[in-house]
Amino acid sequence: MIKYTIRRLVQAIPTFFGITLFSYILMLGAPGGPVASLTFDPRVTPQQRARVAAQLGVNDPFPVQYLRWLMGDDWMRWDADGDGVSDHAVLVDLGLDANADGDFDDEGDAIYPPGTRKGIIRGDFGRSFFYRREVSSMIGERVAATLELGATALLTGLVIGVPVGILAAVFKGSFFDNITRILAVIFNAIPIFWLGLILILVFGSALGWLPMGGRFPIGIGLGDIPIYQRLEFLILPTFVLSTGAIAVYSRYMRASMLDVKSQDYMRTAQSKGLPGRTVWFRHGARNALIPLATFLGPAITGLLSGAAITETIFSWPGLGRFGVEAVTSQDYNVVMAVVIIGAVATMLGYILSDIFYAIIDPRIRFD
Amino acid sequence: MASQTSVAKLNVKQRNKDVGQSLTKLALRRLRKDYLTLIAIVVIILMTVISFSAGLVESTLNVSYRTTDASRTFLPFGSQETAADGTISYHLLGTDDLGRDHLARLLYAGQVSLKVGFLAAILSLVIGVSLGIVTGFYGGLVDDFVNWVIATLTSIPQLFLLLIVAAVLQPSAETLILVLGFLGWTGTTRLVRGETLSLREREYVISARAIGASPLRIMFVHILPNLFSVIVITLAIDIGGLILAEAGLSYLGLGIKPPTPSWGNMLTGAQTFFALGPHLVVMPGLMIFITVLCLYTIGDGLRDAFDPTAKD
Repeated sequence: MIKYTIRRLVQAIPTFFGITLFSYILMLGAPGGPVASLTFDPRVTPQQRARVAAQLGVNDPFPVQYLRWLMGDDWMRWDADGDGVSDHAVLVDLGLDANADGDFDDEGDAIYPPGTRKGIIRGDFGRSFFYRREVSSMIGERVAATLELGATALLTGLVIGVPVGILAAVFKGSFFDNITRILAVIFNAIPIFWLGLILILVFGSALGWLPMGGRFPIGIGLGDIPIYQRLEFLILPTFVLSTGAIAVYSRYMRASMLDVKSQDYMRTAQSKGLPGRTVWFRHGARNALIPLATFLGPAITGLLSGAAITETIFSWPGLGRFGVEAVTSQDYNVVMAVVIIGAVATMLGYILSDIFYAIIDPRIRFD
Repeated sequence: MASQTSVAKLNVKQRNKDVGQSLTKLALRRLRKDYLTLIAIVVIILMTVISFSAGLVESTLNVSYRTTDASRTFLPFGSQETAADGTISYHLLGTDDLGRDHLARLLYAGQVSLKVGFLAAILSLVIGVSLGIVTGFYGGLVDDFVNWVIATLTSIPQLFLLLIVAAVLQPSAETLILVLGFLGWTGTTRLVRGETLSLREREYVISARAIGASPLRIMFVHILPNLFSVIVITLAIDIGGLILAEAGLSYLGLGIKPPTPSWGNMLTGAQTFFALGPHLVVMPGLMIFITVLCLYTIGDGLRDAFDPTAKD
């Protein structure tokens, strides 16, 4: 099992490399770019602009830039003359150190001094051009909100989707089966941002039962109140985000259940006179649940994509909305951070579902 | 006498059943009985035709999708308006926040959304099918490379991927078609690759190879036609998915930009219309919903129709 886990993790390395390379290449073509957004001020002289460009290293060859972004550049400098100052470096131009004129301050500046970057591998996504803060700490503030929403939606999807799927298979061809089938198609086809708008219109605006958005009551700071006291804020976004999951799980569970139905052990259970309930739920459903383990990876992609839209409609202060705003304000370090984190989460989701599956079904390990 | 004719009828029926029929013919016959799918097809065709005759609708009702007028904002359904020169404008679905005719805007938006969905789906299908056949047929290094690209692309949540691209490109209908097409092929490739893997071991492929057919000929003359059902089903479902993706992006302000209407961007900022014109929130979403619902229904119907194990 450990061997399988390790193999699976090793296989993820080229994928991770591909994700970073792909997004970095795409981002190179983005308009505006860091130099433009940092030197937007008309008082900035061409010399200053050139200095910013050199500090950011945007004139370096692509592989160098990519390497610095991925691995950082602190390891590229060393102390050559033994005076305790790392004053020699490869691929980094220390001569343009922002510290030279002493104006680099930790909170306000958007650029690191050359030779101090750690690279995204060590969780350093640089600074936001827009907020002039560490991207990683800003991400940290928003991860919890997205996790909260995503986990609730995933749970809702499972809690509703699985029983519905089982019942639809047990009562195949019944009214219940048909109605859930139609609902699943509807849930799949409905644009979630529109569903969100309509729900806000009905429950938030017209009836006034639920808040129209946000994660906390207005005027109360972050993290002040526990989740069970603000459930009303979760209801609409969770429902909107989980529609897709409910539809997919119920259909998948139904198919899986029907698959299991024709297995020999089901016939055995029936013929030895077990009551229908026991046959279906103890023998059937438990086995039918197994393929669902493979669904974690795809579920995470779906939830993250959906979260970007859901968070925007309900002003939910999470990662997705952060990413969308960053695209609009051309804050590319933030965009990259959100994309990479989303991709890594998905990748881990796929690995986890493979491992779950291997635990449940040992044959997989020897493929 | 009566029993004789019924026996004769039965024989005819029996004989007809014995005549070899192609999968496509069988599918078409099954489809003819599947009213739900037929209705969906009709709705999609109607929707397309009406959308693309938006100009005609505009001139008939004497309205415009882009002329703004501060004096007639948020008119309700079925409003009529007499201009100074006596001509009457019929705002069947009312007007929007800038006084533009809502129906006309919906139709023009439909043109954009349908165009993006259809063309992007076709583009992704062409890429997906060709890559799928080639990787399935040759295997080896090409297969490994394409699988690596697919693993990479599917690891990035689709919307996030579109976020980067939206940041890089100035979005318009044309760029969206290219972007959605170039990013949406992975599922098709996987599907087609799997099918090709099994098809290439079939006898007719082996005999084609034995008589010296070139790989290109085998792939595109012998294998491709057998993928027809997979392709048609994927196409219907892809168009639906892509219309949803376009609408989502445009809603977030990262897709089609106003003043060009699209069903997605007509809902941007719709929260502010809640009190004044709820119909502005309802209609564009309803259009997306109906279109996508019909396309998914068609996809499902085709899947059932092409299912070789299905009984008549």
